[in-house]
Formats: sequence, C-alpha cells, structure tokens
Amino acid sequence: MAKSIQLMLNKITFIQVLHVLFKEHIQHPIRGAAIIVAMAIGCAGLTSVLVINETAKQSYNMASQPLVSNVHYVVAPKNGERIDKADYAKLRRQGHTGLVAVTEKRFSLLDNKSIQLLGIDYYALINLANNKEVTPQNPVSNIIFDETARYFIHPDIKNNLQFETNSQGKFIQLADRSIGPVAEFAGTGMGPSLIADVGIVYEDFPDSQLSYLLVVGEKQSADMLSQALPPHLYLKALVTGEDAKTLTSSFHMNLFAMGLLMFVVCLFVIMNALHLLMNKRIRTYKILRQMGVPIRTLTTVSLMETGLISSVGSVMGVVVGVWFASLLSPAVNQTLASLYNVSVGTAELSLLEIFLQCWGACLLGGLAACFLPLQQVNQKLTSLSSQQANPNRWFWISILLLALALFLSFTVDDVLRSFIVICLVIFAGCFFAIASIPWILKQVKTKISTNYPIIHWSISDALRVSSKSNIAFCAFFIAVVANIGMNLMVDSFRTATQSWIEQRLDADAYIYTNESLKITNWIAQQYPDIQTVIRQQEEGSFQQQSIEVRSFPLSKERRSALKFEEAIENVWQAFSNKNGALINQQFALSQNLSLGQSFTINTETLGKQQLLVAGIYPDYGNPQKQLLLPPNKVKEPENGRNIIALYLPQVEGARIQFDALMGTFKDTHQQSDLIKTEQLLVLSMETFDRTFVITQGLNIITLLVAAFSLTTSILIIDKDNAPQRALIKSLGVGANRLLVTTLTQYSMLCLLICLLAIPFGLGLSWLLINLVNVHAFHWTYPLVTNISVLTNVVWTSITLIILTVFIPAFKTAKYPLLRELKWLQR
Amino acid sequence: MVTTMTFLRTAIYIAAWLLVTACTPQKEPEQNNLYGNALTSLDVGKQVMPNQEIRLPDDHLSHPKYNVEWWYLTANLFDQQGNQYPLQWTLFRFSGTQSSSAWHDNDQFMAHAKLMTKSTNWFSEKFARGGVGNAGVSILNDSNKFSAFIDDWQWLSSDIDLLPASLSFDLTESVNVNLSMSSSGPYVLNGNNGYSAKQQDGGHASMYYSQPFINISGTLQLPEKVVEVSGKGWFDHEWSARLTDENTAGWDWFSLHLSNNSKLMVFRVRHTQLADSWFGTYISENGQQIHLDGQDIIASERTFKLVRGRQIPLDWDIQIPKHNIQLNVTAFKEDQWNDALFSYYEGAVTVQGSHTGVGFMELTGY
Repeated sequence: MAKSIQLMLNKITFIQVLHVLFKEHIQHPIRGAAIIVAMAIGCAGLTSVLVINETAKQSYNMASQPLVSNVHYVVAPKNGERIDKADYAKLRRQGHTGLVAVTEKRFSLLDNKSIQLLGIDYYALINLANNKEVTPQNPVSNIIFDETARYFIHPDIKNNLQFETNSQGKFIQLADRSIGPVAEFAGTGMGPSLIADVGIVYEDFPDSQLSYLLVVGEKQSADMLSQALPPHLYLKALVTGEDAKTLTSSFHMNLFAMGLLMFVVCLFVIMNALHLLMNKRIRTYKILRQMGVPIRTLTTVSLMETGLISSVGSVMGVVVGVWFASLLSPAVNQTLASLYNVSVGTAELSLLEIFLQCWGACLLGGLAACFLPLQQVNQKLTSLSSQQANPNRWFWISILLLALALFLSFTVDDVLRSFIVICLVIFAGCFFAIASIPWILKQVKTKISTNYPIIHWSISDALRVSSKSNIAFCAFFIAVVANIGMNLMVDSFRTATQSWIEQRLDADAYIYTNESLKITNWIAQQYPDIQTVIRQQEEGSFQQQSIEVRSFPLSKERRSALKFEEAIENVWQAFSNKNGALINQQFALSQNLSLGQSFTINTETLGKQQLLVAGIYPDYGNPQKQLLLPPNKVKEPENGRNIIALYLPQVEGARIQFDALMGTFKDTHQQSDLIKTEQLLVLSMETFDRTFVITQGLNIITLLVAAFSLTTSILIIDKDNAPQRALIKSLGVGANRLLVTTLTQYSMLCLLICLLAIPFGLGLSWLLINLVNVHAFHWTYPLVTNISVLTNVVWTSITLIILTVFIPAFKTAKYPLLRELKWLQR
Repeated sequence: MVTTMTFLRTAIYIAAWLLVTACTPQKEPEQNNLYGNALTSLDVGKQVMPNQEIRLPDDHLSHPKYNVEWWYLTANLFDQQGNQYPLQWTLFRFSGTQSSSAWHDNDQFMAHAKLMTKSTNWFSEKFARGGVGNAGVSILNDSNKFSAFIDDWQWLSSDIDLLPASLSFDLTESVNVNLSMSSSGPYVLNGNNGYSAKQQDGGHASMYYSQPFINISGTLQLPEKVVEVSGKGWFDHEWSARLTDENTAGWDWFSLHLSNNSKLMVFRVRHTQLADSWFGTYISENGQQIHLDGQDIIASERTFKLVRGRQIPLDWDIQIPKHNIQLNVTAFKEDQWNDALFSYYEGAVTVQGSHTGVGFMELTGY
C-alpha cells in the first residue's frame, strides 16, 4: 500500500515537474527555440549530405546494375577476345540462369555530349523476376510490356536531351540519327543510360556485339560459374559501381566530412544552449529540490525534455535538409556530370530511413550534449560551493590527446583511423583553447594599466565570459580549425593540380574526338607543319586488377611535361632502353610499390611482362592506377575516341597554319572539339573550383552557425553584466564608446580563438593531405601554407562575429541608464 | 537528387499505400482473361488444313510457319508409399509478335513447370527467344537426338524420336526433377488424322497429336527429401495459326488414364458468339483411337469453387454413352492455379464412376 502511494506521489511529482518546465518554456520561449534551431541546423546539414551522397551512390549502383540488383560480377571477354550469344546460350543451358546479356553503346549527341545505351536481355530479366514478382507493379514488366516505346530513360536524364516528336512518339536526336520511340520511366534501377531490350538494339544497330553478361545472384554462385567459363571468358568483379563511387569519393568524402563537422559543431551549439538553459534554471531547480523533488526526477524530466526537443528539431532539420538538398541538386548534378560523367537524380530514397538516421543521431547527440550541463547543475544543487576545477587540467588533457594522436598517426592504415586521429587533434585543440584563453587574458590584464579603466574592464569582462562559455568557444574553435584545415588542403590541392596540369599540358592545343586517326591524317595533309600526337592506350592487368596503360613519348622535349614525385637516377634511360615503367601515385600507394621495385603486368601488346618502377608521378583526380610505357610497348592507336595533342614546331609558317586550323576546324569537324591549351587550363581550374564550391559553402555555414552560437552565448551571459554596465554608464561612458568596446572585445576574443586555431588548422590540413588523401585516394601533395588563406579565415570569422553581435550589442549599449538601474532594484 | 516533387510523391505513395492496404483486398482477379488476354493478340500465321498430314518423327520438331505451338507433358507420379506427385512440363512457342534481328529470330518461347503434393505447389516459368540458342526444339547436331529445351530445362530423347527420353528441370533451388520416360503404346492423332477442329463451324483448328502411353520413373529432389517416383504421363503436341479467336472465352481440357488402360481426352471450347464445342478422342487399351465430337460427349460442371478469387469448376460429370463411360472427375486438390505471367488452372484429377483413374485438367479463361 505504502509502495503504491509512493509510486503515485512520484508520478504526480513527475508530471508537476514537467508542468513547471513547460511553463518555463512558455515564459522564455527563446531558450527552447535556440536549442531547437541548433538541432534543426545540425540535422539539416547532415540530412542534406546524406541525401546527396545516398542519391549519388544509388545512381552509380544503378549505372552498373541496370534494372536488377545483387550483381557482384560480370562475365567479360579476355583481352582481344569476344563474347557472343553462343557463349551466353551455352552458359544458360548449363544452368547459369542468373546471367543477363548486355550490349553497351555510347552515342554522341547533338551538343557534343554523349549518352550510353544499354541493351539488356529483357527475357532474362523476366525469368529473374521469378514469377510472382512479374506483376503490373514490377518495374521490369512495365518496360517489357510497354508497346508504345522501344527505349526508356529516366525523366531526370531526359531533361538533358533533345527530342523530336512525330506520330510514333518521341525520338532522341543523336549526332547522326534519331532513335525511339522513347518513353520515360522513373522506376527503380533506371540509371543515367538509355535502356532498351538487347533485341531492339541489335535490330536498330545490326553491328552490335555483346559487351558482357551480368551475373545476378549471391557471390557464392560465382564460383561454380567461374569453373564453367570457356577459356576466352573470365569472371570480373563488378567494379563499375565501385569505380563510380571512387571517382566521386573525393567529392563525397569532403561533403560528408563537412556534414559531419556541421553536426558536431551543432552538438556543441546544442550543448551550449542547454548549458545556458540549465544555468538559467538553477533557481527553479533549487526551489523544486526544496519542495522535495529528487534529483533523479529532475534529471529524468530534463532528459525527456531534451528528447522531445531533439525530435522536434530533427523533424524540422530533415524537412529543411531535404529542401536544401533539392536546392543544391543542380550544382551537385553539374559538378558530378562535368567531372565524372555520372548523373545524379534517379534514385528512389527512403526518406523514412534518412529521418530515422537523423532523428537517432539528434536524439543521441542531444542526450549526450545534455549530460554535461546536467552534471554541472547536479553538482551545483548538491554542493554549497562548486569546486574550482584545476585550470591546468585542460592543458594536460590536451597534451595527452595530442600524444595519443601522434602515436596513432604512425599506425594508421585506413581512412577511418585517419579520421579518429583528426578528431583527437581537434579535441586536443579545444582543450588547449579552453586552458589558454583565460591564461592569456589574465596575462594581458596584468599588463594593462588601470589608467585605462575601460580596456581593463573589457579584458576582465572577456575573462568572465570565457570562463562561462567554454562550450561555445569549443564549437567556434572547431569550426575555425576545420575552416583553416579544409581551406589550406583545398588550396594546396589547387596549387599542386595547377602546377601539375600546367606542366603536363605541354602541347599548344588539344583535339577531343571520336575519329582520331581520321583527324590526324587530315591535319597531316592540310597543315603539314603541325605535329600531332595521339596518346596510345590500352587496358592491362596487375594482380587481376585493371590498370590503365598509356604511352609517353620518348623525345627529350616531351620529358619536361612529366613531373615526378620521385624517380630513379637515370629514369629516362631506364624508361627508353630497359624495362623501366613510370607509374602514378595511385598505383604506387595502393599496391605499396616503391622506386626500383619490380612488378609484373599483363597487357595485350606485351603479354606477361616484368617491369621496374623507374618513376612515380602525380596524377591528381584520376581514380585509376596508371602506367606509362614507351609508345612501342602500347597498342597502336585506333580510329576512335581519343585526345590528339597538337604541337607547333619552331619553324616559319607553323603559327600561320595553326591559326588557319583554329579557324576552319569547327566547320570541318563539327563532332570534335579543338581547344587551346590556355583555354583548357582555365576550364580545368574552373572545374576544380566548382568541385569544392559546395563544401566551401558548407564550411562558411558551419562557421556562421558556430559564430551565432558563440554570440548568443556571450549575449546571454552579458545580461548578467547589467550592474557593471550601469556603473560604467553612470561614470559617463557613452553608448557608442560602449558599443565599440563591446565589438572590440568580441573581435579580440575571436582573434584570439583564431590565432589558437591556426596551428591546429595547419595540423588538420597536414593530416588530411598525408593521411586521409593517401588512404582514401592514394595520392598526396605538398602542404602550402598560404598566408592569404589564413587571413581570409580570420577576417571571415571576425566579420561573422561582428555581424551577428552588432544588433544585440547596439541595443544593449543604447539601453537607458535608468533601465539598467531598474534592473538593480529587482 | 531528391527534389521537392520526389519528396511529395514519396509522401503521397506512403499515404496511398497505407490507404490501399487498409481498405482493399490484396488482388482483384481479372475475369475472363484467357492467358491474361496477352496471347490472343498474336498475329495470325499459316493456317492448318483438314487434309494436312502429321509425319513423325519430323513433326515432333518446331513448325515456325505456325504462330502457336506447344509440347505439353502432364503426369501423375507416385512414390512407394502411394503419395501422389502431379507434374506438368510445357514448352510454348509463339511467333508473329516480333521482327527478327541478329540477336533473335521470330520465335518466343515460354515454359511452365509444376510439381505438386497435397500440401504444396512448386511452379516456375521461363521465357526465351528463338535464335539466341538457349531455347528451341531441334535435333541436336552433335548427338542427333531430339531435344526441347529452354535454358537448363530439357527434354532429351535417345534418338530423333520423342521417346525414350529424359526430362530434367528445377523449380526452385531445392526442388529438382529428373525423369526417364518411355512409351508403351502408339501416338494418337486427334481429330481428323491430327486436324483438330476447335469450333463446330471449323473457324479455328490445330494440328494435334498425343502420346498417352508414357511410363515415367525418376527422382524428385524436394526441399527435405529425395523421392523415387513412377507413374503415367500424357504428352500433347499441337500447332496452329493462332491461339484462339477473339470470341473464344476459354477452354476446359481433360486427359484421363482410365483403369482398364484406356485413355480419354475431351475438351470444350467456350465461345462468346457460338455454342460451346466439345471434342475428344477415346483410345482403347490396345491403342485404337476413336474421334469424339459434341454428339458423343455429355459433360457438365458439378461444382464451382472459389480459387484465387475466381469461380472454377473443379468437379465434372463426363459421359461417353457410346463407350459406356460415365465418369465423375474431381480435382486432386482445389488450388492448382498456375500463377504465371499468363495464369490458368492446370491440375491433376481423380476419376470415379464407370472407370477409375487419374488424369489432368486445364481450365482457362476463368
């Protein structure tokens, strides 16, 4: 009986406490709203990034798994061999019915872009749909039994194409013909390609050949298939989807890192807002405690409140995030399409899944963020005087974290651990900042004479603010460190890329064409002084992995175009006369190949060949492992898609011929592009800058959020400063002077944080270049400490702080003295 | 990229899905869909003629000039404990719907296979195109054997004749069928020497012969056991210019192994404009075949049952007074529906009455 009464009383107490807190929110809506806004901003950033990344990744998967899923391998012909329908039929008759024949074609469009056509064996797809799945709802059956169209395309891809419409329907205009009728189909599995039945492709393009067979099914079934394959075919792990991910992984990782960073910063912002909320509530909590409410109840109710706020914040965040992602979509699409020739926008996303991810992260983050403020409140409630923490402890924790990061950096061998090291460094920086800021302010204070009372007061006030705003300082510090780190990394990458590309593009102009031999012959006849070079290319393999094999000219004048990361002493001699090969960083770092080491490759031209690493060259932006060999060791060029380099020899008349070629080329070869090297350099760097424009945007937003948090924190604390402000005003200090003092004080605090963040930002940048880049993309480049980048970050930070603080500081400064004095009477 | 429209569309889908699943039954069957109405749209190919002859073994092979053709095996197999395992294996060929290319010819193949027990149905279907090489009916070049195949489902004879032969196919990863088949009687030319009219006005006909005397033995690999089985099979091979005409509502077809080793095949074509037409063939125990028409056959449905949302006649009275046959034909079990892309009822039957026995019935258009 007594137990049940106690339970009932507990229940009543619980509800009453909830009621009290709810009333507090009604009275002070800004406090709760600040937390919700922080939560929503963090969640929106994370959602946008998740949506963009997930959509893009699904698009790549679909590109490699048209209309089907669970594809891990393809059956492909070996070098120089062909796969035909007899192979396909034989394998199917042996019981390998998970095979789907695919013929692949690429067509030029009118605007000189191109589109891929995938001819897929629909009949194999129906069989895979396994009876009951072949219903009118099934996407495959929608396509197969549609009698109005022969080709299908996703609506998002359709928008980039030109159509002509006649009585039979819509036809896509290719460079040399039209194909159709084309219908839109927005079902799952539609990648960025035009899709048709293999039979239709063979009908419309009689010269079609099978490209490969998709192997649909679990990985285990591939073993049996592998044994059944005839000698000219082999089972190739499906890397197209993975390749696409790798292709764009630089972009995605930047984006995800920024999204995560924004989320972490927002967690600090939340923690800061909660901290302020709890501090403001101390009086309420004390009264509740005096009324006999146990600490456990207060804690539980506060956690529930945080959970509720997290839920509201995450709902708002997801909605804003999805909207933001849709706003970003044109920029992201353009970036991915121009950089990697992949298109984003055809995926069907589970918004529920994304919401649950964000909600879970917000809930956990919110509760974790709540933990520290609650602990502090509990300490204040249980002890009469809070114990002063040893100010040096943050410093020692910082040293400890740095030591741990240093130790781990020697053992890192993957991207995840690289990120752990980065986190440790950033947190070490946070603790260092928390320890240093009061110490530095104290030192400055002792140096300032009391003859300057306003400055003296301002520094004392800054000291007071800093002791109460540790969490907000941390958020801002992280944002500044991340900004410095990312901007320096991007700037270093840009510098390295520009230098590399300027050296590499040593020709006077380049032609992008689908008929390379035809054009070189034409130039040889029409403009004999212009020297043309087609870079020979073929695919090779190294330990069953595909590698790009490219030719590099032997002539001395071309050698300067290749910039080496490192090379053996007689690199060109080894390259020309011996079995020396030049490999890109990606090849070297991913396969642990070093200078002078021997390795064996297999190519159509050389067969199995042992080579020596004579030089390692940077090859930024290329996701593939690449190998350069003398032209006589690489397959002769064919009349196909290629790039032709044009060189002007130092002979009289060459320039005139070149100008004439520039003038006539577009008219005579409408399907090809002739670009001068200087234009190409500009284009390349524009593309580079576009790649990072989104992440830099997120960077600024993160900084803005952190600045907003810091400002809010300072301003709320500043409300407690009314007595001092009243005193200063009563001494005759004018509003404008007070405003200037306040803005200067915040700017100086911001400058101090930025100065402390610079070494950690440099460290972060170094880690990003030398750990993350190496493990994620297998390339690295020198860190360039560009002072203008650092100054920009500092100025941006200070500007953001001043912008966010100006209006509230202006209002406070203009408060009439009488109003401040009224406050004293309360 | 998720656009606002996609977001809205997703929300609408979720709401619609919730509404639909809450308020409507799972599947509303289409009434009167003869093979889902899909096959009736085939172009008309070469017509069979009344004086046309069937020449075996040549006519076991494909007849590409005719647009519709099938090789149809049904069997009632039993294990040593007397458990029944009805089985169907059918290869359909259609042409007239697609033009040829370097990838395929005009033919399209569809195969249905089914194995049942009292409690379980295993059904599977396959599709393929002619000319690719993974489906066809031909004499194999390397072995000079008759073969009807689609992917790894294969009827493989020991020579150019249909039988003796082996039949192997899989229905799921854990259900495989491997059978040996031989004949113990002659082929039967249905109708008028193989010319089988489907309507009384002669508007539609096919070339149609059967092999009702097939002895089968073999192994059934089931999910939990391997079963040795044996029993009797019935094979039909039929080709025509088209499946039916647009006024055909469906058909009811029976092949029965009677207790005195005689056989009976009867079928009714239901027509929307004309009277229903009954035809059949009675085959005595010594292989003598007698053509039956509407005047010889008295048949009617006794009971309709609801199967997969459709009223299906599962219990029949069939009488051939001229031969003193009075049969009650009942479905082996109610649900023997082939839930295929083109769905229909195909199931084993039990025969009672003047004779006992087992058989199969195919009911389409319900």
